[in-house]
Amino acid sequence: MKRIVPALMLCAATLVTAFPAAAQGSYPSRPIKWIVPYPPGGGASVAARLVQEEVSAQLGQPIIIENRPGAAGAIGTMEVSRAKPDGYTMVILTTTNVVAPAVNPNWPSDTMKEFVPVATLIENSSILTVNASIPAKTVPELVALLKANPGKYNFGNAGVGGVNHLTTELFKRLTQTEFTQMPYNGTGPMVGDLLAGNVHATFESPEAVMSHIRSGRIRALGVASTTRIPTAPDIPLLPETLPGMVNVSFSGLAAPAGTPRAVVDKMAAAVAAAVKSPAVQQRLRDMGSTGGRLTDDFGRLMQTEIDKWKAVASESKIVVKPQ
Amino acid sequence: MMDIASGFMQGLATAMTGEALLFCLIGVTIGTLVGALPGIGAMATISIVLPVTFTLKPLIGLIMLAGIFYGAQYGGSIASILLSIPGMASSAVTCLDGYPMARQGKAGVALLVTSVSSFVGGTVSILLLMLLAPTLAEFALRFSSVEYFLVMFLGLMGSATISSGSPVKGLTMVVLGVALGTVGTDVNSGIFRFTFGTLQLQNGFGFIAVAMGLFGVAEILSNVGKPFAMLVSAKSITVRSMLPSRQEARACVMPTVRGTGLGALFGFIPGAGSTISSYMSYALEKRLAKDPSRFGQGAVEGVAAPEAANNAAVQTSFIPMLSLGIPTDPTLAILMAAMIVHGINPGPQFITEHAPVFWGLVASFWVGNVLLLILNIPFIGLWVRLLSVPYKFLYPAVLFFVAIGVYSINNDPFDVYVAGLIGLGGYLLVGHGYPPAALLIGLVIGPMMEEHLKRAMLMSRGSFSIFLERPISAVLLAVIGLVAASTVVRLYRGRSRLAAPANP
Amino acid sequence: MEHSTSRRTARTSANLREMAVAAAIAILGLYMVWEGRSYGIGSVREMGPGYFPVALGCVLTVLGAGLVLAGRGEQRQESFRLKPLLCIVGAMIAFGYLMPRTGFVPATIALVLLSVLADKGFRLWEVAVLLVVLPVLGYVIFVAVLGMPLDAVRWGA
Repeated sequence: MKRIVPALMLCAATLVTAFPAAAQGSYPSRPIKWIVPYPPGGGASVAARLVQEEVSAQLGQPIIIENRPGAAGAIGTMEVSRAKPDGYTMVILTTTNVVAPAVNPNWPSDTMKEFVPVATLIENSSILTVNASIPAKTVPELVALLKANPGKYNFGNAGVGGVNHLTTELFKRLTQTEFTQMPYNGTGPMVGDLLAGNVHATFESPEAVMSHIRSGRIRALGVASTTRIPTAPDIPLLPETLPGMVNVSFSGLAAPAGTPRAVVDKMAAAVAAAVKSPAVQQRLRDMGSTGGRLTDDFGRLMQTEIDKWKAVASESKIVVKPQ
Repeated sequence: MMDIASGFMQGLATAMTGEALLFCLIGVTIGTLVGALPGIGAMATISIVLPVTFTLKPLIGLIMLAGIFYGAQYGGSIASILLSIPGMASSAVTCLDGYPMARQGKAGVALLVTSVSSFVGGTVSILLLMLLAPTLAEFALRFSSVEYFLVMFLGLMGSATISSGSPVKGLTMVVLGVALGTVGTDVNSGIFRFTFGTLQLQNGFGFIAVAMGLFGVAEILSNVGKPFAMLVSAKSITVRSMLPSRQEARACVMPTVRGTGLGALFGFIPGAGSTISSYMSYALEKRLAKDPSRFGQGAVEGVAAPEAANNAAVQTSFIPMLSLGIPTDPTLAILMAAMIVHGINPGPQFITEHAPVFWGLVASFWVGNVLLLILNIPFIGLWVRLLSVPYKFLYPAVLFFVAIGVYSINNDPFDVYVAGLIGLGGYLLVGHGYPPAALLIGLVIGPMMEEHLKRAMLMSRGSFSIFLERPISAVLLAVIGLVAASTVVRLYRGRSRLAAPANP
Repeated sequence: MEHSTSRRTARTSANLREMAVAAAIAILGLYMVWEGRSYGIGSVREMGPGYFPVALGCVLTVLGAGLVLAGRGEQRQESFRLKPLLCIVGAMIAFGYLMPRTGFVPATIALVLLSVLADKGFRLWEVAVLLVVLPVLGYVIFVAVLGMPLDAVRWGA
């Protein structure tokens, strides 16, 4: 009689510890939700849908993409940060999640604390382009032109407080030049004005500007990266003439903090395999992008960017939503 | 010219294959449904359907998505006519005469007229797309924020006169709409304006919630509880009743032509092409009519012209995207994303590098418009029958659809509250002669106007002379001056009409 | 035909409402100017977030004031009945409130019941029909066909 109770307790203890392991072993056992904190059609949605099918196939469970827009990404982000860290709810983090903490004092999410990075889906760096009518073919020529005509030229950006706005500020500081920043609500209208010559120069993502570079209406002066774009190897690297002139835009998958490492790794592996598939690789190449940076590497990338933009924003005193 | 003809024939061959036809049909059907229902719009639908297109051949997927886009324009007018609830901003003016027509038992005529004029507007516009895409794209490039601001100003000014009541009240509603549009996050500074601390208002008042409240709820409020409130008697539904009289048909011709012209011309205006075109064409028709007081009471021109305009605009809005790779509408941006994911980059090289895709797509627009015409006409009888349901069954159903449609936008009760309260305010305003359609265009166009004005001032470094320096804007300024002057003259002459009671 | 004094009363109250609406617009305009200034007006070259609101507020105030003056002799609206107003708006608010908390079947029931109160001529069976048909129809269209993530009934938050 005396032995039964401890025996029962031992059984219970074994069962209790065995269950999570059993659960992990069978992850995923039901559909997984990827939350995109932006309206459908944007880069984050495209990124998610790019790999959705392949990852579903890899894991044997469907990936369901849900758009949860609002408050410039905060609503969806917060929702996932509060979700159960069981691997069935994940979020698509984007450049917003590393830039917003720097410029928005009301941004409610601490990206590195609340999330476990899983993998990047799309990554690229901005290209500095000028309207073809601008008499500058290299970065030094542009800088000279700007220094000779302070305040005359217009740099367009696709959104105040966005990564390209901050990148332009970084450029301003590194080159010590004066020019007018013209904010736009989106890439489309800005590129339109760039083509028309109302905007003279801009930092923008490769897919927004590549076809126009090819058509000759705009000229690429450099890419803010330490590696060349495979489909456009003749675009010079900006850090070579302007050290530190680097940016990264990304859409990547992340899970709420506390998600078991085994689950994270499993998802990461699936994403990595999906990204390596020829179809996805081809599309990434067309967008002048790469993808598939995993867990800790992704985490390091985000931390670097967070720190960089914090510094730029505070030096340039860029604050969005000061209330 | 031969190039174009041969390109089109090839494209037509592609667009008429079984697969293409099927998906075109699916696309336009979904589009019509989505345009007619409150809440979900073309943009959300396209993004939901987007993943399905990845498994299809690129062109087929695009045909379907594009079909949803312009199909929604057809669908938007259905609810406008039957229930005075616009599915989208560009269908709002259709309510002004379409709904009175329905209440007079001529819903069938109104629906037929919209189908036909939409078809004409769309088709002619496609022709322009085919023949002049690069030219029109270059023309679009000449427009900067300076010109956009003036065009929008002109559109808003014209909208003040669309109601048959006092233009001052019309202007007030326009300004009120613009004022409502300032609520939210200021794009440049990120400051919250008039959000009263709520999270949801940071995105401003959603158009759907306001339109549903202003038109749907307010209309219900003014009709409910009235004795024998039935919109149409069941007796008047015959095929004959769907056909317009010879006089009516003749009256539609020139308005359709003018509407098509306006729509084709202004379709490329970012985010606002079809809305501005439909309002402007209504205002134009009213101004040109021999007896403007018919407008607002069921004038068939008031239905034909804006519907031709918004469909024409929707087709030409593809031009900047296909020729230059610049999407002028968030929905088009999604379409563009779809193309990019398939490895087709719209842009300057698109028409030459991917000629089969371009022509296949353009041909599918034409096919889609034909399909829509064929699709919509048989349903007219069904829609009209809907109106013969006694109002006491109709209005809770309408309220329900409005509520659930509005809720489903963000899964947020806040939007439903907004619709309800705006409905209350709208009921008061409408009852006192303030035209709701004018508020709607203010709401939609206002924020864009502000953005363009700010940018124009940034471009000119603070000098207003830029409006005169650029040729197109100088012309627009002259037009604005003319319209303003003529409105003031009319006001002065008919001063007693300022206080005249009339329907909004 | 109404009794002459009550007609006069009706006209006056409708007239007051006409002016009240215009006055409300003018007051809204004033509010916009006041609040807009706190957002920073900026300069013409770099318009602050308050520039447009202040400008709009001024225009609204002028228009509203003008309409108050012009509205002195006017009356337009027919009868203004409070009960249907409250019922319909209440129905919307109830629906919105209940949707996330209880799912759309209870929310729809609340909406139907409240909106039905607005019209006196309802028979019990008619209400019952609505109570059954609408949730089903809504489910079919919005959840089944359009695939919206809406729960039919939820227990607890």
